[in-house]
Amino acid sequence: MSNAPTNNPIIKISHISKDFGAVNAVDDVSFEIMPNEFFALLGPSGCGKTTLLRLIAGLESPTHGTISIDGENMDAIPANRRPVNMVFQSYAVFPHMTVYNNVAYGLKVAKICQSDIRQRVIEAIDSVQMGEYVNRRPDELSGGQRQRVALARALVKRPKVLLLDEPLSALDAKLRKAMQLELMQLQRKVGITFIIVTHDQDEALSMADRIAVMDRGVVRQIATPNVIYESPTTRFVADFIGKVNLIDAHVIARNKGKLLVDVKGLGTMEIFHKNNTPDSVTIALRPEKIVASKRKPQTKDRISTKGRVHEQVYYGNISHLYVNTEAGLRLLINIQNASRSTVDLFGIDDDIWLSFYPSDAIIITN
Amino acid sequence: MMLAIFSRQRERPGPLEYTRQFWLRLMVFTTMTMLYAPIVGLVVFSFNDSKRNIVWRGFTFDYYLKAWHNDGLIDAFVNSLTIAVIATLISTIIGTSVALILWRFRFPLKPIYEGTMALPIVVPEICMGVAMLVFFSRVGWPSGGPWPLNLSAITIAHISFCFPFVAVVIRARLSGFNREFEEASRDLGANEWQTFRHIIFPFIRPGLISGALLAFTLSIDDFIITFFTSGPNTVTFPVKIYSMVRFSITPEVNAASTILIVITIITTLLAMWFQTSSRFYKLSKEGAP
Repeated sequence: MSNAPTNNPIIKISHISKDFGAVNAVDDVSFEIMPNEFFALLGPSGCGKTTLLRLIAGLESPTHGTISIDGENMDAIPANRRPVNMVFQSYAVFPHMTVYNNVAYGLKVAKICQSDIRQRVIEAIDSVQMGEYVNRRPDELSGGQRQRVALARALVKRPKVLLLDEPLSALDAKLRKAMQLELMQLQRKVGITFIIVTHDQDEALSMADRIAVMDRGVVRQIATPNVIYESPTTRFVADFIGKVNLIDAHVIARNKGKLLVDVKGLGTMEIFHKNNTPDSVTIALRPEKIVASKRKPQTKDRISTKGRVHEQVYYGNISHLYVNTEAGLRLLINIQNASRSTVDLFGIDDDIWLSFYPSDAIIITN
Repeated sequence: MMLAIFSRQRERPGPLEYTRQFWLRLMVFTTMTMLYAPIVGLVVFSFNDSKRNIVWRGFTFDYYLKAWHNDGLIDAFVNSLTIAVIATLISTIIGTSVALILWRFRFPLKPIYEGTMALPIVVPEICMGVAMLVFFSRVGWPSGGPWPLNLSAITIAHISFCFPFVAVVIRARLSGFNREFEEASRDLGANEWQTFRHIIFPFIRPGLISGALLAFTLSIDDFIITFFTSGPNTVTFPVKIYSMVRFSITPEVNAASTILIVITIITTLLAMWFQTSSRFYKLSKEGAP
């Protein structure tokens, strides 16, 4: 969103592979990251996202392919001379040094003069609101505070790219939300590229400008959060991000970007789809796109079907209903608990009507 | 009926139950007596005001003074200290290097190397002693020479059985090292040497110190290996005490032994204190991933 398309990419990854023995942790991955972007590598554990981050940092060397940072080939550049810095998952704050010395470490080993070090360190510590802890040791800090130290320690080096490896996974839910916001503000303030590795889809959707969804060493889709959520191109992406109903369907006719499909148990509908598809496809339908009602919906534009509530899961602001339709489908739908009594409207074994716009259905090829 | 069963179960606690105080006390008493009664006796009788060390005849420091003026004993003590200091320094350097190599590198036959490094810990001392004796006479190692060169054979023997202990202690410490510290250091721009100096070395320092103190105590009170490698003019403290005992067990022997015990206990306590008082240790105990 904030990136200007005319700029040269800050990071260019071309045909990168990394094998650990017989395992392809990263398999022929290519993409570019723009300056100032907040980029997320998202995927389940073991998908190769952390390995990719470590390849960028220079902590692993690729089996094939090259990485360039700011136009410079990084093949022969070791980790300690790359213009990137990393926030580790365990933070790796040096336990035998004070907060000040932790943050100053990267400048001291670079042999920068003392007065400059002092100024930059204090500045960095202040920017993560750790000013009053300058002389504390890591064992006197909480997990969240240690993470701030790790952030300051990386930012004080003024890297071109900041790498964050699951930075929020060790924090509790409330602190995580607060840190998400803070990281976004920090990124805007310092104006450098952030690459964050996460397995948490909410984190990626809410923070990133663009997301690369990874699975088994391969990038499945790179797009903005909105496109990733509303227009996933593969079954894996649709399934991994958020909740989704996946229904088998069959293409009957093709007509100028529109497909007439016969969806199992829901009848025929017309859906926009640009790309070529095989005859057998999958329809992805997000639970919040389906509306539940007591009476049969009157509009003609919506596809509707009758069903019986099988299970109800209450989350406070929303409820999930698992509904068995007459045609034998099991659909998951979201109910907004807009009124305090909404929850009583759809009880288990109640007969209800479900309806949705065909334009909200996504065609996915397997 | 039911009640009777329950009450009977209550009356008979299992053998490891805390309520079995009698057995607990008996065990504690027996072990303490077997281990420490002789040592306490030795220390107490070092203050005995009597030539024959059998009956208590009153308190005196005389035998400590007598030991102090016994030139042979002092010479032996100086020899022991010299050997211990040199052996400690060298075995700490070798032991640390071995531990670092085993921690850092993978190479063919590494498990065998690791095993052979630990072997001197389990090889009976008498075998080590005989082996050293045969080895030194075979290669014609000079046993004479001016002090402290005449101690070289003993020192080498001491180094060879001390450094595996140092290596084991430091290796154990290194296994608790979070590699992310090293990676973070490199990521922040430090080269290998800077990373070793500022990150790895501070981490192993407590292990280094306790390993060194362990080597020191092992060296200063070693008898068997020293006995086989010492010449007539190179007597160490434990060997000297042994030769004194062969004449008669006077309180002077007790006094000398007590000093040895005190030195050993102090260095051991220091080693334990260094091992547990580091910040790395505290943080790793919190279980950070």
